[in-house]
Amino acid sequence: MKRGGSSQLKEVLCALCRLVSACGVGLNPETFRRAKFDRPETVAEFWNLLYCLLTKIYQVRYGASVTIDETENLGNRISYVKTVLRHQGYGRSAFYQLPLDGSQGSRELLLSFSWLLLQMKPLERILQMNRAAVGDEISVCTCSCKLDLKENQDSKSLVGREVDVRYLQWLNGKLRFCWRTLHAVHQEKCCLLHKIHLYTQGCHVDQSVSHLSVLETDLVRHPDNYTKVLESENTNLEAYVQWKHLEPVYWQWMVSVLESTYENEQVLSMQDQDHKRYETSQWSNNLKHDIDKLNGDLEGISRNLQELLQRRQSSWNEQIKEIEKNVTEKEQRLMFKKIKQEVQKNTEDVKSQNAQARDMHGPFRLVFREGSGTQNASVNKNFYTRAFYATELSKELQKACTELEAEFQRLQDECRCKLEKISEEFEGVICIPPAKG
Amino acid sequence: MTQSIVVQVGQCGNQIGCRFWDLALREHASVNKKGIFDEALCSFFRNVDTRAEAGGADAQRGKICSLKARAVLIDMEEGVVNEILQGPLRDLFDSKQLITDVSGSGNNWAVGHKLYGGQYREHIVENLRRTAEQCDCLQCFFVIHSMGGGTGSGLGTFVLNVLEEEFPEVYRFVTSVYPSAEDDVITSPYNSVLAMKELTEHADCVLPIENQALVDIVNKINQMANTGKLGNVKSNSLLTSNKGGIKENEKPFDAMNNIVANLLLNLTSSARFEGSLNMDLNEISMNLVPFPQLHYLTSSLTPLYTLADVNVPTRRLDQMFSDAFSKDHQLIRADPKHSLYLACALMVRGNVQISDLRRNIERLKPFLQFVSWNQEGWKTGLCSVPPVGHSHSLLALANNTCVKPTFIELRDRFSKLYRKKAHLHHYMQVDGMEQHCFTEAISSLSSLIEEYSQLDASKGIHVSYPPRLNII
Amino acid sequence: MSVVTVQLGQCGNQVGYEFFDILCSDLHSKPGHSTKRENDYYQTVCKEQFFHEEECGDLVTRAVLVDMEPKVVSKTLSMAGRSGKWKYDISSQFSQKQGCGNNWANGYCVHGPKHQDIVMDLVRKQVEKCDRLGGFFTIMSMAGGTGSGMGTFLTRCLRDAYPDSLLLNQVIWPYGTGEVIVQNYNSILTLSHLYRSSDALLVHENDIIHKVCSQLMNIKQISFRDVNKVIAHQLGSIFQPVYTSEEALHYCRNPLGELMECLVPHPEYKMLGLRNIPQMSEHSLAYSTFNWNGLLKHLRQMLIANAKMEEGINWHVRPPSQPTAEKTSLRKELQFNTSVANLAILRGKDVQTASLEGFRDPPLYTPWLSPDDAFTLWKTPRAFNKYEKSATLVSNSQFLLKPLDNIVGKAWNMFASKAYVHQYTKFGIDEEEFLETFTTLEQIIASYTNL
Repeated sequence: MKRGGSSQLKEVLCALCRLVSACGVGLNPETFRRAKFDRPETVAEFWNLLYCLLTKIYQVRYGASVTIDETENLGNRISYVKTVLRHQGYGRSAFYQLPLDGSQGSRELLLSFSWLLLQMKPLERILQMNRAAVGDEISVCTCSCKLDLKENQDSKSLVGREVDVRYLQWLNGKLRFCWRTLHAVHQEKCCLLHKIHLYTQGCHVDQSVSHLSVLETDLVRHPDNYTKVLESENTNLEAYVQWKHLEPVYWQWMVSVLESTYENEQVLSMQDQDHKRYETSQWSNNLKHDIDKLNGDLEGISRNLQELLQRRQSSWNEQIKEIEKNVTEKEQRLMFKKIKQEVQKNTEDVKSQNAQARDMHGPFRLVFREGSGTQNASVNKNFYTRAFYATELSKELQKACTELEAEFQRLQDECRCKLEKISEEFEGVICIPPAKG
Repeated sequence: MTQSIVVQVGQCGNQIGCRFWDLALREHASVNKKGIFDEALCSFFRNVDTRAEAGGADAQRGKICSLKARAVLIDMEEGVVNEILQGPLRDLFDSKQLITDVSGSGNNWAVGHKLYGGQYREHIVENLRRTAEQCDCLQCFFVIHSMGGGTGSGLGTFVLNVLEEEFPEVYRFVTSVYPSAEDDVITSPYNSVLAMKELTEHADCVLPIENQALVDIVNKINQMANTGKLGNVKSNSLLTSNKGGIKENEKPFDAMNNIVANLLLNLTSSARFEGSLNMDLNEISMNLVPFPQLHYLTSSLTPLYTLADVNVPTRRLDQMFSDAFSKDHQLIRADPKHSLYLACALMVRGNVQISDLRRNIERLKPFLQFVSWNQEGWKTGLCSVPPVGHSHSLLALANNTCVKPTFIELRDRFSKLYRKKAHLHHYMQVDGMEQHCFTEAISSLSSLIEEYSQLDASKGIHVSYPPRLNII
Repeated sequence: MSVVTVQLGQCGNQVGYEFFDILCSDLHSKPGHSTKRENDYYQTVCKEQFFHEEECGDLVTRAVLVDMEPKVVSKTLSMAGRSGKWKYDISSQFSQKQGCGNNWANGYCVHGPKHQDIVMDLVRKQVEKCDRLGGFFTIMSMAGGTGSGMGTFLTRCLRDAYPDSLLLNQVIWPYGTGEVIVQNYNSILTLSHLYRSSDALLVHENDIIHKVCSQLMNIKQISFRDVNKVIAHQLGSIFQPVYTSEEALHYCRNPLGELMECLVPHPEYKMLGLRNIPQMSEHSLAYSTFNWNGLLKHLRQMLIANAKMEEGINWHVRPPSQPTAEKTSLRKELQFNTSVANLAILRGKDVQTASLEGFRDPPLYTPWLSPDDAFTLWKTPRAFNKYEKSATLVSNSQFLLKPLDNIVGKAWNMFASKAYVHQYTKFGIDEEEFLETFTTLEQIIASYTNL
């Protein structure tokens, strides 16, 4: 490699280290170089790096408060990392064979780290995570969570245990109060955002937003508070730009790492040849046998299915002919019309469900638009890639809410009816329905 | 704040009314030193700017220009009303508020009720309307009349009917002066019983007052004040006194009428002035009338006078409460302590706190009998403005079966006359008056007496009530 | 978070005035043992909760004053104006000429619907001034007509208009005797209707407060003002800012919500009572010192023996050895006061040293709740209203069972004799409605009895 290449490599590794350090792991460029030669002293560092990156990513994705447990021992960290990577589909068996004491395998770890860089985009995520928050986000969730009433059957298993119904009512009431508090908190946030947006209307250079965000407003009021934050963000961005600029160098270097890995593996395979070959051949033999068997099964099943289908079809055809004989043309037309309507309605339903912003979940930025009639706010996510109107969303949610309420009312009435029927059997007794919670 | 209208009917009604207006002015003058027409004044008076239009539009707030009483004066003779018009109170009334005739009712209820009633109905309604329209929130009519004569009892109860028809939302409080047994009007039992039926049916509250009881109280006060044994009695603290009022020279009935006037002032004090526990007029009937017809409330006023030394030891404050329940202080001759209480209200004025009230209720309770379903039948009001000349005062109103003997006595006197058909023809001569008026009146009175008797019968007996609802 | 206070009737307006007055005087009192920063935050949180600040810095209450007659409201407004520390929003009041005449039906069926629009408009204006509406705090008495009848009606309107907001009704329980004769009718109608629309009923009994005034505060001639001041002190001790958990870094901004969450989640148990310690005249306060152990020992015994104040506690009452001991019959003398849930609020010096293990004793509570669910502790080192140390206990327990049973019993006897019923039918409350009311209340009594 040319001298210039090596200095560029140093630069890119430095940038990478700086980026990674934003999630609290101090790394030296030298570590990478040592890993290329599979030096054992860097193993622990790499495991830690992977552990921290993965926990952070999961934290962002699921909003869970996975705090990095400093006291967690290395063994646990290693198995955590292995589990997560397996879950993500990382396939190198050599990686999973690495010992839990962290004594060797730094090159293997370097490979897995590079795979992670491509697969899970941790650098971008860390950047986004450490970005100073705009402060205008509100969380939206339109994930359809249909009431699964079947679940109620599971609750029968509770009957055996003695739970005072009053305790359940108590918990239910508590939940309701939490909901109401949450509701009030959201309302307050929207109310305050609205004030900020209204007062800063026209201040923003970006025409699509036109008002300042919470962060920007605070920045204007107390610029001193933000020097540090912005400086560190700037460093991160600079590092990222540098990284992006020199990324090919890194990957070229990784090619050389891979090459040295192959060389190594050849040596290794020579050593364990017999053992390995035996194991592998037996395993593959078994597999082959299994696959053959499964293929046979599959063919048999599809044959059966075909036959069944044909039989069904012919019987249906006969039935239809029978019905057609009985049904006059007029009725037929009517029925046809009805079916058509039904289908239309169903497709519309499906369409509307599709039209509803599907799986909208997570924080969205709230933006105030005065132009669109009433105080209409639109919500954008992730650098305005998608936008929709809050009023529409709230209308939809309200619709869903009324539907759920109606369902609830229906169920409640049903229960009340049952209760009334039971109470009718007692004479001289007034039945008091349970208090509404 | 609400307003009330005083309707004074007949000789007695107008005489009492006259004392009332005099004392009301005195009371407001002592509270309202700045001469500003305030909310309190507004409840019984209008402020009229006489220099403005001839009609005298109400000058709402601000300085007092010329006060006009919210009153309607009705008499079928001219004597008393003319006297008022020539007296010091003349500026309070204008001629539009008066309804008079010259011939009188001849102590005949039928003449007052049927004859004059029919004749003057339009005039009365128009007069009441006009007075009512001058109020922005009319709450109550106070009818003052006597039961024994013709105009007061006959026309007075006729006015009551008119009020119910024309102003069904407005409360009707009636102050009725009952004749003594040795009354010089021979037909007074007839008049009273006929009037009673109207009161039972059309009034919200009746405050019966007996002439004889007033006489006794006046004698007692005179005796106390003149013996001087108790030290100096503070001037103008006498419940019977005119002192400080416009009219200084007293007339024979003035002392008695002043007591009734004071009763009305104390009754309305909490509605007019502020206090820590207000008691509006509509609360009186709400709390004291458990059954619609049993709305006869006995009243007592204490103290009757105040001694000149200013210190008020607790003992004397407690004495005020004790006195209110004694036989001697009732405005009818009756003994509430030995009868059954349905409900009792204490309206306190002046420097008295809730703890004083509570202490005295606890102290007096063991000596009083309350109906079993209303063992805690006490209603209280605290008005911070005391009456003129006093540091504190108490008006006790009670719905008590002790009114029954008065009614029984009345019925007996009626029966004595009616058995002989004495003087009946005077009544039958009047158009619209028929025999059944008498029988209905006496049966109304009898059923009222019967209701009281039934309550009396429950006295001291353990009453069992239906069991409470049971939750299973 | 902000709370909109609604003062109703003579009693509600008088108590409301004292309440705001005590909040303000506490704000301006010496912070005691808390730091300047903490004290500043304490003031901010309190102000945000009950007041809004005018540009000149004046504190204006987030309150709506309602009465059917003018005298009390105008006096209350002028008294607040004279205080110099705070004032009411002059436009936020509504009064009429004529009171409800102690008639619940008149307030609920006539005046309530008649003035609903205007009053709800006043409320809305206050709500719009809040960035975050925490809920409504309604102060009223049960005995009269305006507070009880109109108050009940307005509570229903608030529930309809603000279904997600919290409604706390401060209810003044009348003296057992001597205030209003029809108070038992008015009370049961109020309670049964409030139980439907309110989230929690915080009850103050006049009789008990009166005793506190005479025996603890040593007041000779007790006025309503004295009584109301004690109530206001107790209310202030709940609502002034406090830390609601051990880890909390900031004063709780939502005490109303947290209070309800820990005390009244169950819809059948909504009655809250209040006890506090110490309570004494300013004169004796100067000569007294307290320690937390002693205070809390008294407070605990006050709770379990159902003593209303620290004098005359029955020290023989002990928690039952078995938590599921046989149900106490109501008519029998209730010895031990079982709780659904309790909330202790400690304010003052060395509050960290206080131990509340005694309140986490399982037999104190109903068997279906564990002490962890049923007991909550709030505290702050900042002293409240001149007391170096003070403890308040808000309790959802059987303590109101006896007064409640009393009121229902008396009202039932009166109803059985048909006395005064005509006064209510006149305005549209018929016998059927009365029966329904009785049923509701017997149900409440049964629920609390069978804890």
